[in-house]
Order: sequence, then structure tokens, then C-alpha cells
Amino acid sequence: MKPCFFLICAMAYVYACPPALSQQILPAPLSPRITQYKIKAELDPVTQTVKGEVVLDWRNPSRDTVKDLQFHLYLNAFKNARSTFKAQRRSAESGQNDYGFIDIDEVRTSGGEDLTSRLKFIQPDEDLAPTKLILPDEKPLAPDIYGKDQTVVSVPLVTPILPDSSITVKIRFTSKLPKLSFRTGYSKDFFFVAQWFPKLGVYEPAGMRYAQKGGWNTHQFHPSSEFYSNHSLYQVDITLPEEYVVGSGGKLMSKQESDGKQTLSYRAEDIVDFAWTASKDYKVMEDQWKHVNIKLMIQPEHLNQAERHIKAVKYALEYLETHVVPYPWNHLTIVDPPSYGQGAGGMEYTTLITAGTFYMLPEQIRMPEMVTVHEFGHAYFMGILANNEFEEPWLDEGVNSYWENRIMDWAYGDKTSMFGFPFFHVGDVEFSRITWLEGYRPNLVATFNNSWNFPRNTYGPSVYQKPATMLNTLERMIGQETMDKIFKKYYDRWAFRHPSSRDFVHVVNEVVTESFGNRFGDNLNWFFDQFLYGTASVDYAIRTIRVNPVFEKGGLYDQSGSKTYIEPEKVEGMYRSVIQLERLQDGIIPVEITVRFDNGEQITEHWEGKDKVYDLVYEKPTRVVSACIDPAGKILLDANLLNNSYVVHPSAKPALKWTARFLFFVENLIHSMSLFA
Amino acid sequence: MKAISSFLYGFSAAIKSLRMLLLIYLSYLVIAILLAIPFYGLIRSAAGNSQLPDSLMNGFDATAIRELLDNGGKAFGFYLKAFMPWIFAFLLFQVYLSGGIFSWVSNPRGKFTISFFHQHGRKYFWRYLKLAVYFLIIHLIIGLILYLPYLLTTGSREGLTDQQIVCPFLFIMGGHLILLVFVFLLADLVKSRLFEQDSRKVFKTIFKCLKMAFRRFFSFYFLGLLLLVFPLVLFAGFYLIRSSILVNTAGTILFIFVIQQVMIFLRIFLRVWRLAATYSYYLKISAGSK
Repeated sequence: MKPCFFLICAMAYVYACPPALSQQILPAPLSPRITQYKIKAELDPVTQTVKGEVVLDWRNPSRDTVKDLQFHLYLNAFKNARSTFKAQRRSAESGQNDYGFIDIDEVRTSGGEDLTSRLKFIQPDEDLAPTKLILPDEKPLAPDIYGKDQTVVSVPLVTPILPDSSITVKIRFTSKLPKLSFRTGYSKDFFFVAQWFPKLGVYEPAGMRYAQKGGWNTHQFHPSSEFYSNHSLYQVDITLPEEYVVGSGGKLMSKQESDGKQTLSYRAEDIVDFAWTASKDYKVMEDQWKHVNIKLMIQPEHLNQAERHIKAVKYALEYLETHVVPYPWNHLTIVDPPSYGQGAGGMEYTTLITAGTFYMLPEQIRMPEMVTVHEFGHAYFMGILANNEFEEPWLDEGVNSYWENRIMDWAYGDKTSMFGFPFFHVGDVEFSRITWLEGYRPNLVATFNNSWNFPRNTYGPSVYQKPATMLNTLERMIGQETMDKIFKKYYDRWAFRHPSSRDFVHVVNEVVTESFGNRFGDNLNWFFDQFLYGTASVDYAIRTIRVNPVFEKGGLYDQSGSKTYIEPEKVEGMYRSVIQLERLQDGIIPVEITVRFDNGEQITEHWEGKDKVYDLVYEKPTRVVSACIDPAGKILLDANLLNNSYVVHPSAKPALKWTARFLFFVENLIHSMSLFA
Repeated sequence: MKAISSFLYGFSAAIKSLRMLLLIYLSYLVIAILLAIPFYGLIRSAAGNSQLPDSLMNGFDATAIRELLDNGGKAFGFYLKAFMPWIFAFLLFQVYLSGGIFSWVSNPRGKFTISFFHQHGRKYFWRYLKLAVYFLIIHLIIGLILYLPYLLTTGSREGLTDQQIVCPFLFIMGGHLILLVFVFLLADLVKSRLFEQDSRKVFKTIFKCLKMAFRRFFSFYFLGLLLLVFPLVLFAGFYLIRSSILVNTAGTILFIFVIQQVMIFLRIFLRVWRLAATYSYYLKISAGSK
């Protein structure tokens, strides 16, 4: 409450001030602002080129003397077949103009040193290329796939940067936007301009994340990788023809028009990326939620779906404020790309997100809501935390998918949040689980993995749905209140500080131990070792329930030197019920088992889940009629829920009901053929 | 007026056809039961002793269905593949029924006998099968004429919005549905003529009937629209009843089963009504042209 209240008061002060005094849009910096970018750029829509100049300030956050600067030149991923991106995708464009690139025309320090000739492309991932092919039919990668990539450039400095010192460099660049197929580019007169300027990498001092020694963490651009950068201050001036409607991740500070062109000045504080978009067709709608100004840039043919987007983002704002932290910025732009620009859809740039919908999409198909909630969630699980999406994509996508599941089920119903038709409905949590389990070889590789190390078709399920299901399981084990405590502490400690998976797990262990003592063991490493760092699968089953009468006395007894046979005597009214439980896979999670007897009695047992076979035996005057492993449905990681329960005398009603439906279907099918007969 | 009187005649002929309707309904039921019995076995074996299918008593449950299909999936898949030849068999069965239905609607005051029904079903089987094949080809040609230009133009043009893709398709589909009313009724008209003339010249009959239908286009089309009203009412009514009842007890399972069977019976009734009305209309217009 406190930070939010302070933020609101600060906002009131800021908006009451004359423009000259209100250049700052947040009352105080949220991050250390290691980097600051001042960019002036001009878009030429005819040549799809952005020419610009960036003045970059960077402060050395380490105790090291840094001898070079390393930049991401993401647009070079679209340059030719030798880029890692294109070579791994084995894709080609249809014409020269479809390719893209970024050239650095000049680099100078503020002291006037010309560093242009010192530029050299480097390939930091060359030694990290996966050498082992996991799938038997996978084709080996081209030998030089990592060796000719130009998405990372090193600028060796004349004067190294001492610890805690700063450097200012001025870079002139030319960016040719590619034909839009993958996040950034143009399509007709629609422009989505992302990863468009030379972006500084992250210098990790020793001890930060997994760094043993200080160095730049700048990876090449791979098809399945995303991004990693510092929180920065951006001041961006964009010049383009005045008929274009522009949106960006910044707040518009001023607009000037002359000679048929417009220059828009934006400011964005403490965000990891600055993207912008321009189109002649956008319709702009604005709304307000508490301190947040929401701007929706929507296609004219989707105007009747505008409310769906705004409602979804308001749900997300409210939910995340309640359960995590308030949204720290005061502006948000949601972009709805046209259908011919869908390559830009479903992406996040902190204070600018791209959604995606389709003309006449029924309200019961909640695709725009899900995408909006998911991409907005990235403002938290990327924007605020800014983990390394190259090396730990699950920490961003998987964690965010977990929160997307929660928000969607809360807002739209846990059985209807993805599809809400009466005859077909699915909730987001169950959709995540089903998607993961139905994916290609669900536990083939560990979720904790570099983004480029996932075999074909496994990235999505391994990075999005499996970790979401894992966290949903964890939540059900420890309770939502404890889960909220975990995330609040995680944010408190790691906001704007680039946490790693290890840091997250550490917070989980701290909070769970505080809340539950050793109820779950000394810590939850056993959980994460199996399901985050490992490939364990869970499948608990009830193999059978046997109920037999109890006999006593029967057998041969020694009497007076000989054997006397005594008939077994049935103990009237006593039964021996044996429930045989099995652990069919290698994953181990403690489970509860509910046992029901024929007199209505119900017992709850606990099983550590370690043994492969485990029997529950009861000798009572009542018989076991059914048993159920995990009756509360907590262990969503369990791959087969059908074998979790056993009824001695199962009801035929479900089979009868669905057979009656099937019979009706067949009769209708027979009759429908009469149309063609 | 011809359309309305034929429409009413069709209703009265269908009302008098209860024995035939029952015969057709029972044949549907027997075929469906033959296919449903193994399906029941499949569900029981896939579900085993699990309690999970109980959640399906409260309606659709994605998780329960996924678990069932995952465990019995291969068997269900095989079952569905084996189903494909059945669809062809159903079509042949309906071709056979058409001849029998016409034998009755041409003389609804007579006594219905199964042997008479079967005799005409056999007699007209090959002609009506030929007709069915010709009309399948006609449907295909209509589809190509309507949709192929659309597919070629939208496929070759870049930069279309989704509205520009969807709206023309909806417009074409709307036109197609309007055309289908005519085409389906035309097929029934041709069947009527083939029956009345006892003719084997299927191809020639199609052209003759096409000419007859175009000469009286508005009245012919009006009959088609009249015959569409009650099926739409039936479907709407069934959907309303079905969606207002939660089928989760033995009693509601039985109740809905009865409602479903009543619906099937009514669908057969509507088909007889349609054929009788078209036959009557054919007689009126062919008498008028003599």
C-alpha cells in the first residue's frame, strides 16, 4: 500500500507541474540506471530504414577495469543465411527487401576518440553450441553456424573504464527493417520497430548470477532466445511522416510538426527495452486504472474488441497489485497488430506490449484476453526483475505463465478462462497442463536450460507450460498465501537486479521454511532438483483394491507329538482390505490418499511417495469401497490422473451417458446422409 | 399457392406414415446400437475402476476427457478410423430408403407394407445412387465456382486484413447456403420425376427438372424455405431443452435419451414431409405444363 500511495501522490505533483518541470515521469529512479540512451532517429517508410544516432552513457558497476563495450545488433539476425538465427531456422526470404540489418556507421567517445575501425563482430556462443543431438532424426547444424553471426559486436576502448566510472559514446547507425515475420520489421505500411538500435549487453561482475569472473553477458540471437539488458533511461526522438500514428514504450513528452513530418519525443524510465510502432490505420483509445494511463492502439476492424483488451489488462493490474507489487510505471501501451503484421504480436517491451486477435472472434474464445494478460505479466517477470532470457527462459516465460494461469482463472473462471462455450470449456491452468503433457516428449529435457539447447518442438512446453504446471503444483502444496509471500519477498529482494533461478529457489526455501518449518523437508531443493533441474515424471497409481474375509486359526498345529489340522474359521463381520499403490515414474512427491469405507467412514493417509509399491492394509468390520490419491488435485505434475483413483464397484452411469450421446450422434449421422441421397 | 398446398399435402402424407416412420426409426436405432455397444465397452475399459469419469456426469470436462483419450486413445482412434466406411454405408442406406419413402408418399392412403417398401427401395436404388453421385459432383462444382476464385485471390494478395479475408468468405458462404436450399430441393424434384415417370434417364431428368424449377423459380424456392422452417425450429427447441438440463443422474440420462429419440423420429418425419411435399409439387407443375 505504502509505495503505491507514495507513487500516486508523486504523480499528482508531477502532473500539476508545468511541462518544463515535469521531464521526470517517475518520482524517483526505480533502478540503478546503469545505462542511459538518448536516441534521435528518423524512419523512411519507403526504404523501411531507420537512421539514427544514440548517445549512450554507461556506468561500470563492477570492480573490474572494462576494456571493451559489447553491443547486441539484433537486426543482423535477419541479414543473411549465415546468421545463427537464420541458419537454425533454415529459413529464407523471398526478396532482397525482405532482409534486414543494422550497420554502425560511426562510434566516438565523448572525448572525440573514433572507435569505428576497432569494431569487430564476435560470436560468444561459438563454444556453447549443442554438440549432442537428442532427437534421432535431428539434422546436424552447419559447421560454421555459430562462427559467422553478426548479432554481437565488440568495441575495444582506447581508454578502459575504471570501476564505478562512466563512459559516454555516440553511435550513428542505420537499421534496415526486415519484412515482418519475427517480432520486428515492416509489413505494408505497418512498422513494428523493436531491437532496432545498438543495445549494450549486461556486464556481470563476479558473483552476479552465475558469473565466476566479471565479463559481458552478450549472447548471439537464436530463434528461441529472447533478451537480456539493463534497466535504462530512454529519451527518444522519432521523426517520420505526419500521417503515421505512433505508439511506444515511453511517455510522449512533446510533438512537433513541420514540412509534412512529425517529431515525437518520448521518455521512458527504468525499462529494459524501447520499442515503437507506426501505422496509418491505428485507432487509439485511452483509459485509466488508478495511476496507470492505458493506451490501446487497435486496428479499426477490431474496435468492437477494444473493451476486451482493456478489461483484461485491468484485471491483471489489479491482481498483480494485490498479490505481488503495484505496477511501478504510470503508463502502458497495448498494440494490436494487423493480421499481416501478426509476427509482431504476443510480445513484451515492459511498458509496451503487443497482443493479437482476429476479426469476429467470439467472446468465448479468450485469445486476446490471454495474450494481453500474459504479455502484461512480463512487465513483472522480465520488466521489473529482468532475468537473463537467453540462459534461463523459464524464469521469465514459465513464471509469467503461472501468473497468467492465476489471473485468467480468477477473472474468467477456472473451467472457462480459455474457452467458455457451454459444450466445450477449458480453464487456463488445465490448458497449461494439457498442452505440456500433449507436447512432444514432455520430459525430454530439463526446464532449466539455455534457450538454444531445447530440441525441436520442446521449447514451448518445457519453458512455458511445464514450469507453470510445476508452480501451480507448488502453490497447491504450500497454499496461495505462502506463494504470494514468496513472490513478494522475491520482488523485494530482486526487483531491478537480474535474479537467477538459484535466487528464486533460495527465496522459496526461505519462505517455506519460515512458514512450515521442516514439513516439506529441510528445503524444497528435492522438488526443484526433480522438476526444474531434472526431467523426473510423476505418476502415482492405485493398482488394485482387494477385499477378502478374515480367517483365523486354520492350519496344522503341533499337539502331543503329532500335527493336528484345524479348519480355518472365518471371523464373522471382519474384512481385510488391501489397497496397492504404485509409483510408476521416477518423480517423488508426498501424497495424500483418501480411503472410503462402506459405512461412509473416510480416512486420509499420507505417503512419502518414495517406494515403488506401497500397500495400505485395513482389517475392520467395514470394507473399503474406494480410494483416491491426491483427492484435492494438488499434484498437477501427475501425468495420469485416471489411475489416481479406484472404485471397487465403479458406476456405469458415465459410460451410459456418453454412450447414449454417441448413439444419438450416430443416428444423426445416418439421417444427415439423407441430404445427399 | 402450389408451394403452400404442396407443403400442406406433405404434412398430411407424413402424418399418415407412422408405420413407415417407425420402421425407418427402428432401423436407425438398430444400426446405432450395433455401433454403440463396442463404444460402451471401450469407455468402460478405458475408464477401468477410476472415479475420474464421474466428473463427466456434470458436463464437459477437458481434463477427464484428455485422461480418457490418453489411456484409451489408440483404441478410440482405431474405432474412429473404422467408422469411415460406415459413413459410405449410411449414404447407401439412405439411397435405398428414398425409393421406399416415395412408394408410400405417392399413395399415402394405401396400406403400408414392408415388402412394398423394400420392393421400391430396391427398384429405384441404382437410379437414386446415380443421382446421388451426380449431385455430389454438382456440389463440388458449385464449391469450386464459389470458393476457388476467393482462395486464389486471397492467397495471392499480401497485406490483407483479417476483415478483408473473413467478410468475402462469409458473403460467399451466405450465398452458398441460399443456393443449397435450391439444390437440395432440386435433387428431391428429380427423384420425384424419376419415380413418377419410372425413368432411368437420370442425367436428362436433372436438366428437365432444372428447367421446371427455373420456370417457377420463386414458388419453387418458397417451398424450399417453407420446408426449412420446421427443421430449424426443431433444432432450436432441442438445443433449448438440452442446455437447460444437467444430465447427471440415471433419471436425467433416461429423460434426455427419450428426448433425443423423439428428435430423431421428428427428423425422419420432416424428411418424409419434405419428399411428399416435393412429390406433390412436381405433380402439380408437371400437370400444369401438360
